Amino acid sequence: MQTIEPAAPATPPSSSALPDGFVKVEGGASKQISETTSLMVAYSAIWLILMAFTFVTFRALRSLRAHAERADKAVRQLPPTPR
Amino acid sequence: MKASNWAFEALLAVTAVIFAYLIAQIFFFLPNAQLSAGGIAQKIFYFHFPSIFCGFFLSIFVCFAASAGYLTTGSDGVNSLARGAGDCAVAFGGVMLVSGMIWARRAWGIWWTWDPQLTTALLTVLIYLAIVILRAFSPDGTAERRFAAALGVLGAVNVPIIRYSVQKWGGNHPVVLRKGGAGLGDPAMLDALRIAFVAMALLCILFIWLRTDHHVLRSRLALIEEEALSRGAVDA
Repeated sequence: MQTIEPAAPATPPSSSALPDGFVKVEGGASKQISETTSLMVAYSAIWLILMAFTFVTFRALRSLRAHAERADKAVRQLPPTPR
Repeated sequence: MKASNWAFEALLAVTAVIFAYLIAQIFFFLPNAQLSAGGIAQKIFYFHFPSIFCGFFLSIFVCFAASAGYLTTGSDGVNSLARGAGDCAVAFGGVMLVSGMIWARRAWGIWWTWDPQLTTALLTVLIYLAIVILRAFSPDGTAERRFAAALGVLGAVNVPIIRYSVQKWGGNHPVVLRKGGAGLGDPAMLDALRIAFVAMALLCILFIWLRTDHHVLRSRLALIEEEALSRGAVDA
């Protein structure tokens, strides 16, 4: 797979000199994590969060629906409100 | 089948197809970025960046609008929407922070730095987490709802601060797509990013829909229990 070099900036950098690439932070770890490991860990984490959120929501919805149905049925069987 | 169920399932199917297409593009067709941008690890970008704009910010916007709506109308449905969007803001905020940290470890050599954009983003996630916790552990009365809605409105003020913090105060975040940035280097990368934006926006809509349904059902259950108690039931 080919590797792409960044395009030239459209305009010269502003006076605040914002980085247009990644610059190592001082005091950072000297040992690098491999690119592939980073990618795999990030994608796993992203999908884990999204799937866990979906799972928890569906489970809660199912239990709430069952609870609401039971409560609805129980209320219908109660005598009318005393006046 | 109810019309809303049909619409939800249709949206779910479209979202799944777009995500499948996006993942195939990212892993099999898109070129790798230059090494200084993380090389193959740059592919995190196609989820990290859209999760911010079309997940986190979109949820915050919906929460803001629904919270403002609740403060003016007091509608139960709008309150459920604000609550659902707040939940989603925390979930997408989590995706944003976790994917960003993993990429930072590779690109900057550290998991976290107190860069202005990172710090303001973290504070915003914490505000929405506070709303979720407040709503989960306090009674669902009008005062609590109004307080959570006010927080939902105020939390949205942080979005422009996050967006412009890098221009105002600098920091480590590189300028890629903004004015003066280096760009993505290949038109195919920009096309994939556009698809990722659509996919993440659809996923965010689905999540907000589900969470809103969940909170509507909880409100309904509370009403049923209230009615049962008023009619003399000991345990609904």
